[in-house]
Amino acid sequence: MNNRKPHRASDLSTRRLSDDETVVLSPKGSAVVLNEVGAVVLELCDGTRTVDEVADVLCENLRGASPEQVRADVRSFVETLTASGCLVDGP
Amino acid sequence: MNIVARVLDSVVSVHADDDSVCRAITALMAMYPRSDAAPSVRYELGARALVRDDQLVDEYPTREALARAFEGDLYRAVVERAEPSFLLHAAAVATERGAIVLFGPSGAGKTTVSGALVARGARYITDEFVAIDRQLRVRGLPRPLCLEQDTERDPLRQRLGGEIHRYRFDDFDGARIDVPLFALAPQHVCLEPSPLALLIHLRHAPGEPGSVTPLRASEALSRAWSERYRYGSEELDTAIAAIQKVPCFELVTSSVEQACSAIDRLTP
Repeated sequence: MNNRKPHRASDLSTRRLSDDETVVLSPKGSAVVLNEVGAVVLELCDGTRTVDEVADVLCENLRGASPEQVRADVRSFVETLTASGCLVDGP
Repeated sequence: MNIVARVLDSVVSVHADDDSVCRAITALMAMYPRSDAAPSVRYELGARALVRDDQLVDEYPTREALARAFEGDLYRAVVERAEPSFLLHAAAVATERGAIVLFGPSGAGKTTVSGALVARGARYITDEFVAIDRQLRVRGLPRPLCLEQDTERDPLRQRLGGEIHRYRFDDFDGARIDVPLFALAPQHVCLEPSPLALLIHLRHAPGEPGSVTPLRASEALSRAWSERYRYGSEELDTAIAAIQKVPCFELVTSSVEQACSAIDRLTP
């Protein structure tokens, strides 16, 4: 499961909602609000990294964060983004 | 019976012959302004069949089912044809300060609160369907209000001039159905676009004290977007612009009076 290398759906629209929040309009029509960390996760999911590698990159930039907790959070968040259609697997 | 009326951005013609169906359609169409323009949507209703633009939509076992199907199909048809705008399941009233949009799930009190605000002097835009355009102007689908059964004592009916349409079905299965719809008098209805002033997410909680809480933009967007009829980049842009431009609140209502007082304080 965590060997997945998800990437952004091709027809994602993103909008700035506030200084620290971005809205992504998923292909399924839901509006997903991302904070700064969420937006970084979406950006890092470019089809070249596994979910855990995305978490590791994120962890390097989050001082004091527990790697296990970051991995768990990223896995959960990636599931949410996948369910909404913002992230997809494969080419 | 033949009615041609403007319903949001569409001109809709409806033709029916069956007496019971005619009464229902007359009631459902009572508040839409009549039009001389060429129809963009044409309905033919038999006693059981619903036909739109010469295509059979379906046949229904009862006249009541037919009337309800007509109403639902009409809303879908005008949504499909509506000009670019953020369309959401919501109520709205027009005040001197602009339009107040009340959204929330079914049962949240949108119809009740908007009716009470009209009784206090606001003008009715809709209790079902709001369109916010790119200029953040609000229009709506001014359908008649469905009243409590005891219409003579209905407070809205007592305060406001209007016309009650009762349509009774002697249905094919022998059932008798009585539906009172209240068409507000024209002076209580706002058909022209009204600038958006306030977005309120309603939540009815009889056991809780009423409260008003400002909503963060992200929360307001998530809640408003969940009530959308159409989705797309243009709709999202308008929704975001609306939320960034006007105050958004969550209003937990314990009673109609408390809700109206809270809204009065938000629109001094």
